Amino acid sequence: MRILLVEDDFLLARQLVTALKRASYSVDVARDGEEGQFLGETEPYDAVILDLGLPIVDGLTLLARWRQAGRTMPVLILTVQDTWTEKVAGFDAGADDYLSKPFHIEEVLARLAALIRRSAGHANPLMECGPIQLDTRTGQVTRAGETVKLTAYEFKVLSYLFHHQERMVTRSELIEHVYEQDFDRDSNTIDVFITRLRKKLGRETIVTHRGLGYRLAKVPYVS
Amino acid sequence: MFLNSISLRLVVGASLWITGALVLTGVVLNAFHCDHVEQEFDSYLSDHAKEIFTLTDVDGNGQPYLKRHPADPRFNDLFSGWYWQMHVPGRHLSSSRSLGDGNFPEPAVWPRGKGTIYVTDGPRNQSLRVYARTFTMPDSDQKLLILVAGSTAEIEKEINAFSNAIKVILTLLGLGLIGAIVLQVRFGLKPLRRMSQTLSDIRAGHAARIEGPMPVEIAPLAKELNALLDYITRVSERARTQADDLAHMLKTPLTVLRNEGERIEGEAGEVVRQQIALMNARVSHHVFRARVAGLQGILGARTEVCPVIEGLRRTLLRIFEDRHIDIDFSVTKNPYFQGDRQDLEEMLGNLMENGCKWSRQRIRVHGELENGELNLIVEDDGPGIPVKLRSDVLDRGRRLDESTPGSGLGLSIVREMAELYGGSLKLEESPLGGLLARLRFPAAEA
Repeated sequence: MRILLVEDDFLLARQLVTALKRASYSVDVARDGEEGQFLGETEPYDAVILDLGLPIVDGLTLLARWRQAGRTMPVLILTVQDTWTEKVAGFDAGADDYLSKPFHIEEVLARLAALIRRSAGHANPLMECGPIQLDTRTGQVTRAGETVKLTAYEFKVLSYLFHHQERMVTRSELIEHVYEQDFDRDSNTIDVFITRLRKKLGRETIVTHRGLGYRLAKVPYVS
Repeated sequence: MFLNSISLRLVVGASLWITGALVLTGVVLNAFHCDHVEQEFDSYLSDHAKEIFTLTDVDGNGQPYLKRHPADPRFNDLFSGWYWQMHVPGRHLSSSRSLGDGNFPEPAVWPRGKGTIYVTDGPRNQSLRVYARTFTMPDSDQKLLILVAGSTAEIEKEINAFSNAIKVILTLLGLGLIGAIVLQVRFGLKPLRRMSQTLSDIRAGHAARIEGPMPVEIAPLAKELNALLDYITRVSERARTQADDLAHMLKTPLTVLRNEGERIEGEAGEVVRQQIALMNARVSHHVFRARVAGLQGILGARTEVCPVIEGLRRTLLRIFEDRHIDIDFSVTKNPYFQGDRQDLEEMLGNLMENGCKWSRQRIRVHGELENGELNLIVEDDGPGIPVKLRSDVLDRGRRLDESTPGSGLGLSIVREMAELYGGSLKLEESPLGGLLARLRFPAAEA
C-alpha cells in the first residue's frame, strides 16, 4: 500500500514516516501544499494523510482540488482545533476521516487501515481468502490459523492483492502501489516477491495471468 | 423621569413658555380693555352730566331749575341702574325718575375742575360708578353739583364678555402651538429614533452598520458608531485569529512530544505523558477562552440553523458510516441563531455526535423559532441517562462513561457555551427511548 503524507512539520513527518514504514506502507512525503497537490494528482496512492495547516496551498483547498480533478483516494485529515466547523469543512471538501492533534500514531495507523479497507469495498477488518487471513488492524497474516512471517515487501504485495482480490492486478499496478516514488524500480523483483509468497502460503494461492498480472485464488479451505 | 426624554424636555419647556407668554398677553390685553371700557363709561357719564347742565336754567330768584328731563329713557325706568342727581349747596334739587324716592350718596367734598369718579352703593344694593362735577351757572355765582351714575354691572358685563372671549382664543392658540411643537419635535427627533432602531437591528442581527444619510448634527455620531462597530469586529476577529494561531503553533509540537513520550519507559515516560496531556488540556482550554472572549464582542451575528444542521448531518453520516444511523432533521419557520456560526456548530455538533455515539439506529434533530425564542432538540434511541445522573453529566470534567472515547467534556462545553449566549441546556427523556437534549435561546432584547 502506497501512502502520501502531506505534512510541513519536519519532526512530525519523520515520526509518521517511521511508523508507517514499520507498518509496511510505502510513503511519499510532501512538505507543502503545492508539492502535495502535484503528487496527489500524478501518483496512484491508496490513501493520503493530509495536514490542514500547510504552506503555499492550505490543506482544504488542496483536497478540494484533488476531488475536482477526480482523485478518489481516501484522505485522512489532521486538524488542529478539533472544532466542528473544521470537521464539516474537511468532510465537505472531500475528507474521509479526521484526527485532531495531538494524536497517537497508533490511531493514525488504525484509521488509515480502515480507510484503505473500506475504499477497497471491505467491511470486515479481518480479510480472508481461502485458508489465508490478513488482519488489517495488526498487519498479521495467518494460514490455517498459523502465523506466517513476511518481509515488508512481501506484505505490501500480498496486502494489495488482498484488498483487490475480486479482480486481477497488473504488474505495473503492483509496482506503483508497492514502491515509493523515488525508488529504483525493477519489475523483476515483483516476480521474486510472488515466488516467495507462493513458497510461504502455498503455490495455488496466487494465480498468474501470463503477461497480464496476478490475482489471489479462492482456494477452498482444507484444514 | 420626564427629564430623561428629549421630546418631553422640548415639549414641556415650550409649553411652559407658551403658556406664560399667552397668560401675560391675556392679562395685558384685559387690563387695556378694562381701562378702555372704564374711560368710555366715564366719558358717557360726563356727556350726560353736560347734557343735564345745558338743560338747567335759573329762575327769577336766581335759583337753578331743570327745564326738562334728559331724553335717554334709561333714566326714566325705575331702578334701571342709570341715575342722576342734582344738588345746590346744602340742598338736594332734583333726581332722575329711575331713582324713585331713593338716592345715592353725594361726595363728601364737591369736586373742582373736570369732575371726579367714585364708586358707591345705590338703591337695591346696586354698585354704582358715579361721575360728579361742580358747575357754575352762567351770569351768577350759583354752584350746581351734578351726579350721573351707571351700574358697574354694565362694565363688568362687557369686561367679562371680552375676557371670556380672550381666554377661549388664547387657550385655542396655546393648544395649537403646543400641538405644532409636539409634531415638530417628533419630526425633528425622527433621525434619532431611526438610529436607535438601527442599533437594535444591529444587535438583533438584522443589520450590520448604520446606513443611509443622517442629518449633519448626528452624522458624526453615526460615523463614530460605525467605526466602533468595525473596531469591535476587528478586535474580536483578532482574538479568534490569535487563538487559532496559538493552537496551530502548539498542537503540532505537542503531537511530536506525545509520540516521542510513548517511547520513554518507566516513571519518566509516565511523567512526560502526563505533562503533555496537561499541556494539551490547558492549550485547548485557553483557546476556548480566547474564542469566547472574542465572541463577546461580536454584534449582530446571525446564523441560519438549517445549513448548520445539514453540514453536521453530512459529516456525522460519514464519521458513523459503519453504523448506518438515520439522522432525521426537521425545522419549523426557518429558525436562526443570534450568534456566531462556529459556536452553533460546536454546540449542535457535540450534541449530535453524542446522540450518534449512544443511539441504536436513529437520532432526531428538530429546530423551531417561537416568538423569537430558538429551541433546538437533539434526541436518540439509545439507553439515555438516568434522571439522577443528568446534572452530573453537565458539570465540567465529569464523564459518565469513560469507555466511549472523546466524549468527556462534550455536554458540559455545550452547556457553558449556551449559557454564554444567555441560553440553557436541559436533558430530558426522549419518546424515542434515549436522551433528549434541549437547547433554548431566549429572544434577543429589541
